[in-house]
Order: sequence, then structure tokens, then C-alpha cells
Amino acid sequence: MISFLLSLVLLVLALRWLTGVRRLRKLEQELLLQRQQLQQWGLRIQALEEQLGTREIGRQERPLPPSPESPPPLPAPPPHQLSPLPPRTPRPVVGSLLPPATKSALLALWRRAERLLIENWTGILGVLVVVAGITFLAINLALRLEPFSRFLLLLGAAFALALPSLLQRQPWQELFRWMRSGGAALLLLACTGAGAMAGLGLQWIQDPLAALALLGLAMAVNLLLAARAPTQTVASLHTVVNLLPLLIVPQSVASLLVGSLVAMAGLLLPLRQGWGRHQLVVSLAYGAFHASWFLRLDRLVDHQELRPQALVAALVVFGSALLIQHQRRPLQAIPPPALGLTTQLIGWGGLGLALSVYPQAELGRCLGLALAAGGAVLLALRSRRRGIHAQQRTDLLVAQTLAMAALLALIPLVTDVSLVLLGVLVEVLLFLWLTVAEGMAEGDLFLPRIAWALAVVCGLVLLLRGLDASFWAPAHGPRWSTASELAGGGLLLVVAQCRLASLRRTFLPLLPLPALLSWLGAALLTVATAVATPPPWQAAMALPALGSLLLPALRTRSARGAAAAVVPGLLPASTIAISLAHGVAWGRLLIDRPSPAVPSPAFALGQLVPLAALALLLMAAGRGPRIRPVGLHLLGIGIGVAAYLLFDSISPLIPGVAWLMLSLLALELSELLKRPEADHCLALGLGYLGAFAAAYLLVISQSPADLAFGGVTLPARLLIELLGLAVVVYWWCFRPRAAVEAAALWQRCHPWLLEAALLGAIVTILSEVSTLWRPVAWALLALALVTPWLRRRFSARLGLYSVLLFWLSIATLVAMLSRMESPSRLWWEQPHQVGLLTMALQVAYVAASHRLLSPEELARPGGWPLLARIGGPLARQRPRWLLFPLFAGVAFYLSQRYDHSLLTLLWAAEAFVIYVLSAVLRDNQFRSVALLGLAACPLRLVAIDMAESDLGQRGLVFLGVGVLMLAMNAIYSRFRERFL
Amino acid sequence: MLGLLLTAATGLVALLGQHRLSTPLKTSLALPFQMLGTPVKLMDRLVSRLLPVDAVDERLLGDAYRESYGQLISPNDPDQVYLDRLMTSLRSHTRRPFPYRAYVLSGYGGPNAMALPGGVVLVTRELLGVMASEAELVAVLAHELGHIELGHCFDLVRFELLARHRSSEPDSTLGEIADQAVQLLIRHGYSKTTEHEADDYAYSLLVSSPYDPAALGSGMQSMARAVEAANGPERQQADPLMDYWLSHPPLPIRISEFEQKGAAWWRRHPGERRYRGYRNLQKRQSFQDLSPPGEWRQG
Repeated sequence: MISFLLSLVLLVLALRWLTGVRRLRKLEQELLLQRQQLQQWGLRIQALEEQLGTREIGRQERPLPPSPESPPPLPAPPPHQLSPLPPRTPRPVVGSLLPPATKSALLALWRRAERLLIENWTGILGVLVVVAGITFLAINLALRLEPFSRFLLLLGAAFALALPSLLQRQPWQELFRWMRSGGAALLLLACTGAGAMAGLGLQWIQDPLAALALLGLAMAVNLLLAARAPTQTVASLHTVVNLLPLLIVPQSVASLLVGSLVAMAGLLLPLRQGWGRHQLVVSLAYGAFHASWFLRLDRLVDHQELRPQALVAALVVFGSALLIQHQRRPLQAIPPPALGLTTQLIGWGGLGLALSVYPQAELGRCLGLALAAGGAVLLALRSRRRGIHAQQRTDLLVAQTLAMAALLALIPLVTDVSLVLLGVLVEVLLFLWLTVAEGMAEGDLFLPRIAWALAVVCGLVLLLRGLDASFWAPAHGPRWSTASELAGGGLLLVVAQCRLASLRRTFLPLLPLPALLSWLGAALLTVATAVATPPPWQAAMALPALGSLLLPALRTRSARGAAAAVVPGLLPASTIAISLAHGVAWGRLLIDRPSPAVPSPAFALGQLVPLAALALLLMAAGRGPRIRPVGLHLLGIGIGVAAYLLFDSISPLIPGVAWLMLSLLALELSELLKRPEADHCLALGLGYLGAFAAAYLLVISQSPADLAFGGVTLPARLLIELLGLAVVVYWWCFRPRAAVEAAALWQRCHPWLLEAALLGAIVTILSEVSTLWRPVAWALLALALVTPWLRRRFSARLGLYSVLLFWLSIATLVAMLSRMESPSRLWWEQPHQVGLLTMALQVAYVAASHRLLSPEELARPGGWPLLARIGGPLARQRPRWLLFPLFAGVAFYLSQRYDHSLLTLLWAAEAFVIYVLSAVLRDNQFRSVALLGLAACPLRLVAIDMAESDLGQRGLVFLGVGVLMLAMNAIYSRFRERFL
Repeated sequence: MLGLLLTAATGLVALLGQHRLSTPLKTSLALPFQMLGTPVKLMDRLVSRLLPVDAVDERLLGDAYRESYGQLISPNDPDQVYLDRLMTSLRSHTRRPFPYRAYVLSGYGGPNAMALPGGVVLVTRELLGVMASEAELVAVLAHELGHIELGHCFDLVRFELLARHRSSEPDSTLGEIADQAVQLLIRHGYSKTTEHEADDYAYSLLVSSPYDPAALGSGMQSMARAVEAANGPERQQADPLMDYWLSHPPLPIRISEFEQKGAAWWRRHPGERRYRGYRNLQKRQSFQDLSPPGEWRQG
């Protein structure tokens, strides 16, 4: 105990020392500044004095005539060119008041230490040492004396310490006061020990009442000293020290009563002084004491009967502290404001905690807190009348907190937590409305902002509660009460936001997130629809719930922006909420399909029609380039989903076709709409095309089913592919009005539609044409693309694509000939027959392209850059790029499909054709190749044919090759000029 | 133009609605992957042409397989005799210079058939129990012959063949590694393509033979029943990874395609009669040895 007291005293002294040191440092800094200024002034005075001295000398002394030895005088400077004085190094003036810098620093350090020791530590440390010494003596004596003798000894020491303070000697008064305080502390120790410290050997009174009376006497002395204390620190110490013995004794109602009386007296006795800090310390100390009392009695679990007394004690002390503070005159409000606020908060905090903890009945707790809130409002009104603004603000905040606590105290009574939260939200919104009105009038937005933040927090908590109910802890069936509370909360927030936007227009822009209430309201309404209804009816419920969000925007739009205010965030929040509702409904319909697996059309329509209505409402309410397109997209996707759900049950092949139709309709609709809706309609159309592509890959491509109409049977997949191709071609040929054509989307996507159509054609061939016939198909497609009509109608780059397809035809022909074998005996299933047909088509293509394809078209095909890189070399050497692959293909065909004994003759014939072509085309490279081929033929004749062929065949081959060579010679002689 | 397109689309929707056409699976990516494998296969085949190996090398490898599997069979095994008889009739449809032979595999654990380079076909004994008729068994054999005739087996071992071809002392390890690496890199992309080609070959062979062309679809159906009994029902939804790694197109899609083709063939040839051979398979007697009138299907 003694060590605790000593440490407390030491702590206080240390605090005092720290504040003293800080003050001393400030003074020293000021002194140093003044000293530097003085030093500067001294230097300047010295310089001026020296200047004056030189001028005086110059004026009094005449110049001497120059002696023969002396050097000639220097020419005098012109009068206007005064040479400046050389710079001087400042030197210490003899007898100056200012010491040198190093010396002054050491001196200042010494003087500071000296002053600290004399002014503070001599008194404080002296008292401390004396009290400690006496304490040690007392402990020492305690081992030898009887308890009563020890008590008397301590009492004597206390009086001895207090006695000098009666002398009233001015220089020592401070020290004597400290000694008196020490004596009072000793007295308190002695009296406490007399009744309660048996362990220390100080207890000599067994009667509790007598001990209490003695303790009360010591406390009275300390309180008296507190009342007469010259400073509030001393007063606080004398008051707070009285509470310490009460912590030692066993806790009871008596200890609480005494502690409360001490606190009351501590608050009231120095009342006239108006000490705010003292009031704060006493309130804080009492709060700590009260909490300790409560906890040491095990939260009154076994002492329920003490609750009323404890409540009364807390109400009296904290209430008194609050009343005392509110009784101050405006000018006596506790400075600084933070101190006053802290005092007020401690008072209200203690009061609120007591009201929350002590009443056992929930209703009583709620009523108590509500009454306290009412009291806080009354005090706030009083503070307002008296013009103490800060106090009024704090009281209002406290009233709001207490009111919320009162409502939350009802949670054990009311099983539905959401209902309580809704009540809190209503209360907070009322508070917001009142404070906004007042704050806007007075230009102080502190409270409105707090109220707004509270509303946001309430909305968030309600939202989390709703999410918990709907997603994380879903019940079996709808929760109408929770849903209605969530919806109520959402509507309240939206209404509050609308009212704020319409009546307090200047308030919302001052908030950090002006749109937050709208977002929360929309989120609450969205969750409410999810909680309220079973999945099949959620879309239907979303229409009124989320449609109501759009009403303000619809009103604003109908007023054409004249007087109606735009509610910040409401429209974007509604858009997100409506989009979410759409997404959830689509997800449920498409992914989490209910039983049966495919919903009936009526069921799907029941889901999708309300959503479509919502999307239309959104389009009607939306303004600007963002909201309306969202509505358009939701509507469009909804129609696509509806088409899927309606037709998939009939045949999974139909939705793709329906999406193709929708893409056409969207394209046409874009012509009727204004921009930017037209652009978004185009995007929607492209989206339908993309959906068709996905449906084709995932569903349609696997179907080999046939469709029969009349006497004709055709594969359904082929018909769908042809329709898809036709639709893409229609998109490519479509010419929108100038405004839409200039749109970035159209500019970016339209050039690729041709490639999409080509890709579609290629996919169709891969799907529908067997491997054997694909070379023919590629050659036919190449021939089709090279026709002038197609290239004029679509694009010149089709010519280049035709060349690519021609190469593809040759490559597939080579692959087919090298590996393909057919077990069939039908000619159209024989690879060599099909290969022959392919080569015929390839030759036709070469001929057609020679006539129809211009090098300019090939060099500048347009479209993506890679085409130009392919087309450039192709345009320069077109015959070679076309004919060499063809010749290679033909040579390979000959080698694969004819008897090897005839191969030399056949290859020689091919070389002859190339030779003729070289003459026709005047291309020397062809001639070289032909001659090389022809030169290889005799080698083969000698090396292979001589060994393998029979005599007849050998003769035939030799004859043929020879005739071809002669023919080549004749051609060369006839058209010699062409080869040069 | 727009009106025409919308009318055509509406008509198509009406037709599809009237026929209530369905798809073999709910969704599948196997066909798109098969399509994507086409250009890869084309490039692979063109590259194969550049390698200095040919059918002679493949046949030598096939001889080694024949010697190896010939030791595992019993010449008097009725199943083996039956397969030999069937292969004799099928050999007339082949073009490549291989002595084709099918071998019965015992203890494989499931119905299956495999093709090896050089004209070797392996048939598990369980497959003979799963198939319903001789025509279905011939369809399976024709599918495996298709793999050999169309060079799919050659593509699998071309580097091994090259290693054997270039070395006086054959050491095919490096070649095997090269083949496996190529398979790992690209084969999964187009294995479905080659399977589809083999299916087409089998169908073409059936059309050219006295057997029922619809047997290919029904044979796959028999196979599907056995697979379903062992592994459960076929996955109905698309799965990009699974669909990519599938070595064969999903059975329901193949069944649907070749049932349609079979039905279309019968519509085009109403006066034809084709052989099915339920009892032939039961008695292990081929069509050449036993062809009762009740086994013929009339158009």
C-alpha cells in the first residue's frame, strides 16, 4: 500500500517535472533568440562605430607631403566610386555583456539544472524523502510496537508534516503546503490501517462502524484540504486519494456509498473555483472505482439486491457531474473544448453504462436509457438556449446514442432482430432529418454528417442481416417478416435520400459519398425480394419492389428537369439492382433449373415478363448515355433467354435459329433508334450472332438429324449453317445511316464480318463434306470467290482469300492422295477420281484467276495487315505462286495414282506443258523448271525404267519422251523470240 | 432480302419444331475440337510425306507384331477361326499391301478392339460377347481396318519406323520417344478427327459389303450399353478439358450420326437386302459358311 502511495506521488511529481521542463525549454528558446538578436545588434553598432572613427580620422589628419623615398601616391578613386569596406570578422568586444557561444551554452545548462533543483525538486523531493523515511520508520516500528502505538506514531508524523503550514511564511509556503498534503495522506493511511490493515499490523479497531467513522474523519480532512486547495491538482489528489482506501477494504454497499459520497463531495466542494480538470479527474476516478467495485463483486451475480443501490449511486454521481457542468456559465465552459467534451462523455458514459448494466428487466433498461436520452435532449436544448454550442452538440450526440442503445436493449424481448434494426433506422433517420434542418440553418454540418453516417451503418447492418437470411442461412420457405422489414428499410433510405435531395439540395453534395443511401436502399430492396418469395416468384416481386426505385427518376424525367431534383445515386443503384435481379433470375432459369429440367413456357414467361417490364421502366427512367443502354441490353438479353427457354424444350436446335432472327431484328431496329441507343442495339445484334456461334459449337454441330419436307430430305445442321451464313452476309451488306456507320463499334466490327462469313463457310464445309471431297470443296469455293461479281459485291480481298483456298485445296489433295484409301467401288468414292476432278477445278481456277485477278487487288486487298503481306509477293509473281503448287500437286498425283513404269512419260508430259506455258506466259523460270524436269526424265529412263519395265512399255515410254522432246524443240524453233 | 431471311428462318423454326429434333448430348465441345484438329492433321500428314519411310517399313513392323501375337493365340480357338474367316472376306476391300489378320485377346477386361501398324487388328474376347450380330462385329473390324488403311497407325510409329529404316541394327527407342512426344503434343487435338475418318471408312466398307450399313450405328449402341454398364451414363454437358482429352468422339454422337446414315441409306435403297447375322455371331460361323434367310434385312 505504502509503495503504491509512494509510486502515485512519484508519478504526480514526475508529471509536474515534465511540464516544468517543457515550460523551461520554451523560455530558454526565447532567451536564445533574444540573445542572438542582441549579438547581431552589437555587431552592427560596432561596425558603425568603426566607420564613424575612420571618417573622423580622415577629416582631422592632413596628408603629409611625399618624401623622396616614399612611393608615389596612388591615384584617388573617383568620388562616385567608393570602395566598399572590407568584410570584418566579428570579434568579442571587451567588457561585453554577452559571453562566448560555448561558454553561454554551458552556463545556460548549469543555470537550468540549478533552477530546476531549487524551484521544484527541493520541495517535492524533500517531501517525498520525508514521507518515504517516515514510512520506512513506521514499517520498522510496526514490528516492535502495538497497532495503536503505530497508529499514534503515524498520526504524529502526519501532524508534524502538516504543522509548518500554519506558519504562513511566504518563501516556504509552497513547501509547507506539500508537506501538509503529505501529512493528510499519512493520516488517511493511518486511519485506513486502523480499521482494515491487519496484515500490516496497523489494525486496532475491530468495530466496522468505528473504523468507518475514523476513516470518514480522515477523508473529511482530505476533502477539506481539497476544498481549500490553491490549485486543482492538489484538490484532485486530495479527492482521488480518498477512493484508494475503499479499494482495499472488502467491497460492499457501504464502500460504494462512501466512495460515491467522496466523489460527490469532490465534485461539489471546489465548485466555486470552476475547475474543469478537477471535475474530469474526479469523474474518471469515480468511474474507475465504480467499475472496480462492480467487477470485484463478480458483476453482482450473487448480489442482485445491490443493483438498485449501485444504479442510484451511479445516477447521482454522474448525473451530478453532468448537472454541474451544465450549470456553468457560458464563459466558464471548460477550456479547452476537448476537456469539456471528455468530461461530458465520461459522465454520460457512466450514466449510460449504469443504465445498461444494472436494470435486470429489458423493458426497464430500455425505459431508463430512453429517459436518459430524453434528459440529454433537454440538456441540449438548455445548452442551446445558453449558447454553449459544443455542449449542445455533445448532448445531442449522447441523446442519439442513448436512444439507439434503448432500442437495441429490446433485442432480447423482440425475437425479430430485423425489426429492432428497422426501429433504429427510423430513429436515426429522424435524427438525421432534425439535425440536417438545424445544421443547414446554422451552417454546422457536424451532427448531420454523424447522423448520415449512423444511417449508413444501420442500413449496412440491416443489409448484412438480410444477406444472412437469404444466402447464408436460408430458411425453408419465404420469410415475409424479414423481407418486409428489409423492404421497409430500403424504402425508408430511398425516401430519406429523395427528401434530402429535394428539400436539402445543398447538404448531399457536402457528404463524402452522397449516393450511398440510394445504393443501400436499392441493395436492401434487392435482398428483400430474394428473401421474400420462393424463386419462381422473385421476378414478379422484383417488379414492384425495384420499380418503385425508378419512380423518382420517372418523375424527374416527366418534369424534364425543370424543378425536380435528381436524387444522387438512385438511378445507378436502381440499375445495378435491376441488373442483379435479371442476373439472378437468368441464372436460376438457365443453370439451377427447377424440376422438370426444362421449365414450361408459362413458367419461363412468368419469370421473364416482369423482368422485361423492369428493363423497359429502366429505359424510360434513364437519362444520359449510360442507363438507357443498360435497360436496352437487359431487355435484349431477356428476349434471347426467353427464346432459349421457350424453344429449347421443343428442339435444342431452334434457339440458335431464333437468335439469328433476333440479330436481324436488332440490326434493323438500330436504324430506327437514335444514337447511342442505336450503337447498343447493334452491339446486341452482334451479341445474338455470338450466341448463335456458341450454340452452333456446343449444340448444333453435334446433330446429324435430317429434316424432310415434301419429298426432300436435308440435314438440319446444313440448313442452319446456310441460314447463319446468309445472316452474316446480310450484316456485311447492311449499310446503316451515316451516324451509325461512323460509330466505333460498327467501324471495328463490320470489316470482320466478311471474315466471319468465310469462316462460317469453311466450318460448313468441314462439317458437311467428307474428307474425300474437301479438296473439291475448297477448289469450288476458290473458284466462287474469284468471280468478279462476288468481289465487287463484297470485297476485293476475296480474290486473295481465293488464292489461299486454292493452296488449301492442293494441300488437302496431297494429304488425301497420300493416305486416303476407300473400300468403296463407286467412282465418286475413289480418291484418284476425286483428285482428278479437283485438279481440273484447280486448273480452271488458275485460268480464271489469270484472267480475273488483277495484281493491284492482290497487292492492296484491305482488311487485316497480314493479307497485304501475303498479297504483295503474290501480286509480283502471281503465275509462279499459282502454277508451281499446281504442278507439284499434279506431279504428286501422277506418282501416287499411276503405274511407275509410265511415270517417266507422264512427268515428261507435265514438263512439256510447263514448257508450253513458259512460251505463252513468257516466263523464263517456267522454262527452266520444264527443262530441269525434262532433263530428269532421261535419267529416270536409264536408272529405273530400263530395269523395271518390260520391253514394250519401255519402248513406249522412250518413244513418248522422245516425241515430247522433239515437240519442245519445234516449239522453241517456232517461238524463239518468246524465250529470249 | 430481310423478309426472305426472316421467312426462311421462321420456316426452319417451324420445321424443327414439327420434327422436334433433339441432339445426342445436351452440350459438347468434342465436335469443335475435332474440327480444330483437321488443319493440324493436314499439316501432320504433309510432314509425314517428307519422311523417307513407306508401307514396306510399316509392313516389316507389322510382321514383328504378327509374330508376337501369333504366339498368344490357339489356331483352333473358335473365336480366332471365326475372326480369320471374317478377315478373309474383309481383305478384299483393302488397298494397302499388308497381310491383314485379327487376333483374339483374352483377359483384357473389357470390350475393345485396336489396330496396329502393318495390318494387325486385336479384338478382345469380351467384344465378341457384347456385339449383337456379325454385321456389328464386321463394323468394328472395318473401323480398325480404317485406321490402318488411312495411315493413322503409320502416323503413330513413323519416327520409330524411320529409326529402324536408317539403322542397320534396329534400335527404335529414340523413334518411340519421338512418336510419343508428337502424340503428346498434337495427337489429342486430332485423334477425334482420325476416329471419325475411321468411322466413315467403316461405313463405306459396310455399304460396299453384303452387311447392313446400319450395323455401324447399332454396333456402337451395343458398345455404349456395355460402357454404360461398366462406367455409368455418358456425361451430358460440355467440359472443355474432358472434351479436349477425349480420344474418341462421344459415343452418343457417333451412334446418332451412323444411325442417321444407316436410315438414310435404307431410304435411298428400298429394294436392297442386307445381312445382319445374329446367329452367325452366336455360332461363330461366318456369313460365307452360314446365311439363313431370316438374317437378311429387307428394305
